[in-house]
Amino acid sequence: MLRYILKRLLLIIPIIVGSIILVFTIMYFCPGDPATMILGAEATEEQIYELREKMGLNDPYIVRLGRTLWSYARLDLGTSYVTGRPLTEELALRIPNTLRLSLIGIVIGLLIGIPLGVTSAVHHDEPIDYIGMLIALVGISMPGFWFAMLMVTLFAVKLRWLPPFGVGGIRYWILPILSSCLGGFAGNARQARSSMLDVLTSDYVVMARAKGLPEKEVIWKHALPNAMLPIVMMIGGAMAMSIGGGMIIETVFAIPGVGFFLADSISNRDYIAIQSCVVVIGMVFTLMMLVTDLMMAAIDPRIKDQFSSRKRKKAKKV
Amino acid sequence: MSNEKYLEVKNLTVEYVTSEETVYAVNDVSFGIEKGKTLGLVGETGAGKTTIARSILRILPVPPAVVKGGEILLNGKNLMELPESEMCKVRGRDVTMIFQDPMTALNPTMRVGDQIAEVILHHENLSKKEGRKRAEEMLEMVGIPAERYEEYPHQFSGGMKQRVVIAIALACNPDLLLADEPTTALDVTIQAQVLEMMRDLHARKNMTMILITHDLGVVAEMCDDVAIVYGGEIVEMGTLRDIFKHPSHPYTVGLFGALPDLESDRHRLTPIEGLPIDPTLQITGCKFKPRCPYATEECGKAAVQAQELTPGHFCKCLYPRKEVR
Amino acid sequence: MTEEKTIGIGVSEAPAKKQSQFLAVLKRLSRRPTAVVGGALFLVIVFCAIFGDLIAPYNYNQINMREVYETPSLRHLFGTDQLGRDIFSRMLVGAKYTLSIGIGSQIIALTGGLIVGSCAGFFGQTVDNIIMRILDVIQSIPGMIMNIVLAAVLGLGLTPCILAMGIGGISGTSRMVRGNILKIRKSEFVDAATSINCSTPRIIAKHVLPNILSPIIISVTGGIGGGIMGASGLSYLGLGVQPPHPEWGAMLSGGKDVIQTYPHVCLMPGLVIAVTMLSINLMGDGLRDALDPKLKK
Repeated sequence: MLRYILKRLLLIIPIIVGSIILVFTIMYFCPGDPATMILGAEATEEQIYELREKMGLNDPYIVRLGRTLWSYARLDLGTSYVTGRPLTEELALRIPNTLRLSLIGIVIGLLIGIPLGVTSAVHHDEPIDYIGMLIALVGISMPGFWFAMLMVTLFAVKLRWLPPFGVGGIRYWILPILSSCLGGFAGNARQARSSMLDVLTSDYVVMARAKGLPEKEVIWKHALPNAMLPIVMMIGGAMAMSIGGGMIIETVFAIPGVGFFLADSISNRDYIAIQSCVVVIGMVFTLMMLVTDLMMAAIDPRIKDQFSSRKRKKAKKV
Repeated sequence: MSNEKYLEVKNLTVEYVTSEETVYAVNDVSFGIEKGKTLGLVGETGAGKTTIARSILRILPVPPAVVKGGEILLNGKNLMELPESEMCKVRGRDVTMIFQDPMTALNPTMRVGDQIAEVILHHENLSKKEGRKRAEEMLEMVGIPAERYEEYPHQFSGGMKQRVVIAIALACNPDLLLADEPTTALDVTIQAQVLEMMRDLHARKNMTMILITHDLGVVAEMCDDVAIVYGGEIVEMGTLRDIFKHPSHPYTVGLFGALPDLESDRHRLTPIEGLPIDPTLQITGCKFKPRCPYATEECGKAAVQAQELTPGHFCKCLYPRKEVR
Repeated sequence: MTEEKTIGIGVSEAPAKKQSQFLAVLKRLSRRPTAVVGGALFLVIVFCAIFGDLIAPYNYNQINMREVYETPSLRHLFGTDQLGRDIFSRMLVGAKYTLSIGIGSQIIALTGGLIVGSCAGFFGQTVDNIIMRILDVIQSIPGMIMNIVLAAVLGLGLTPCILAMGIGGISGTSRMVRGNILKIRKSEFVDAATSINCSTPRIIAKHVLPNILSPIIISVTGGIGGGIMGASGLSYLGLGVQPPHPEWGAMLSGGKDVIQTYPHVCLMPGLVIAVTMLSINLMGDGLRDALDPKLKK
């Protein structure tokens, strides 16, 4: 297992380097000139040229890419064009908020979504199934940020139970987390139901019944572990949704996270900040995906086996 | 046949009902087996053999399966009326089943040994350690070294998986074993080994066995009685000798005609013309009529009743053949 | 013997099956009440997208400062916004933006995905490896974030929004197309076609394409929904279609500042987006079930 984890950790390095190159390339083609932005409209052409030279903006693509990669390697994310503050600091301040929002959202989405889907599958075509799936369907149909706004109108404006926006104690986090887990919860419930339905008709589940096991044991010991494989595989997608949606939810609740900062940077046309935000989000997401892959390997002996040491395999065959 | 049948199936009717169509899988099937005997259920794919076996264990997928009627008497006790909790005690202990496809019958995320130990621990009051010991013994018995207890199904070959499935089925010394095409998915060489092993175990434990197959060769080797299934009905039933020496139903005759025979000087096999009937159609009269060379108008008019040709040899045909093979 | 016969049936019935297949799927679809409701709702929205300008009770851009922020009533079904414009009329007219984003982005994503995915699926080995690694890199950035960045680079308005959503969707559809092509290439009926000397174009047209059609239809249906949802998010951040165009997400975003006082201004557009998504999801679920090959038996 350790070997597998190490191998997977090494494999994400080229992906992160690749994503930095990708984001840099997209931003390279972004219209607009940072130098003009910093100096304002009244600046002379000479001033602009000078600043561009100083910022290295006149260098060819390859040189600038190399410089960017090198600075990222030293954990230096650059300096914001707008505030003039180092982005590493700015983002370090904001990442905890983003992580709190999306991680708790994902975990709650899993904890509610999977049992709901499994229950629906076990009670296939019964009222409880219809109700569960109706809830999930409504859940995936609502834009997360609109749901957030609904919650704000209801709980913050009408009932005045919870603060409408900002950060602070736990009370401030309830609405944002509820909104951010909505899509993930509904998606997980639907996926859990369909993979559970698949597994419930498989031969080994019928076999488990033929062994005389009570239905509860059949479901918990035989069906669920196998149904978890496609569910865990889906978690990656749910995470992407949670991070993307979380970014808009940060904006709705004015939570100072990476997403809110990214939205701000976009409206300020702060290109280097946009670039750094996206790279950081990509890195966080890649690490989360790694965790789901490791979970897969833990559940499914077949995946783990692909990476088990060669010696053991050979010994077995003899 | 005597009255002391260990298992008796009476008028079993099973349908698969979906919103689009109804498949009449098993139609009014009755048969019985004496203790310690082996009954062969022979028929084409889709004839309803597996459904019969799964009905006995009550593990049909519901929905779409609907048991329309019938009784299944095990030692005089009607399984159809048992509460689920009682049925759980019957499954795996009194009646067990060997599944057709060993590739999918084992849980891929569970250790092979644990899958055997599970059924032992469930039915017998043993500690985990004793359960494991018994499971290891079972593995050895089917010819797999006990060291492989910790492995997962994907590390096993098809033949070994089938041995594990058999070990699970035999773990609690069942009185009745339902073997659903136990060798179909295996290579011929492995088939012989598995059959040999089953026959050996059968003899040692005095089990009653229903062997489902479409292979008449296997039937000749293993069975005491034979029932021929066509279109969800038993069309002919009798002792092995009755069926093999005096096949009477045209379908049975056809099955033998499609079998190569080294002793006769026939050059060509005679296939049964036509296709198996569509199980979604409800047909009055004989289901084999469209393919039967001897069919007359009379065959399609009313349900054909089984007639007893010789004691214990039943045939559902108006014009039973009388040739001797 | 029986097995040979079943194969025989498959071959002899293949040509006749094709026409009836479409009908069979439709028939199966019509048996599911949820799919019928979803389809009907979606048709209503398509109708609005085409004839919205004609059936709108008010001019969608008519400013009326005397009727600012009216709550929903019979006169103004969905109320009025900060400039006294009738929200219901604006939504009717705006349906065409929303639908064109949803459908337009899927056309781009599907075209791109078919090209990239079939290159990866058909050329195999090296090409496949390179493409997959690139896709790994692209997909290391969450889809929504990618859409936002693309929208920021491409600029504001309807076309950039469609492009952003479409280009962002290419990586996902490529993976889907590749996966399905590989699955089919491995299947025995393709081997069988090769063995009777079928030409490659014929194999692609007759054997591969018809079999990847169902996953494509399912993915496109889901993608249209995803496009609408994503575009509303972009508009909310001020990146998509800009006001005064009555795009639903932009209208929702326009009401966010007054949500504490006049919630209907943003709740109504959101409700319509949710209903649209619901109709698409219902249809998608129905299609998924109707196209499931396991049910065809």
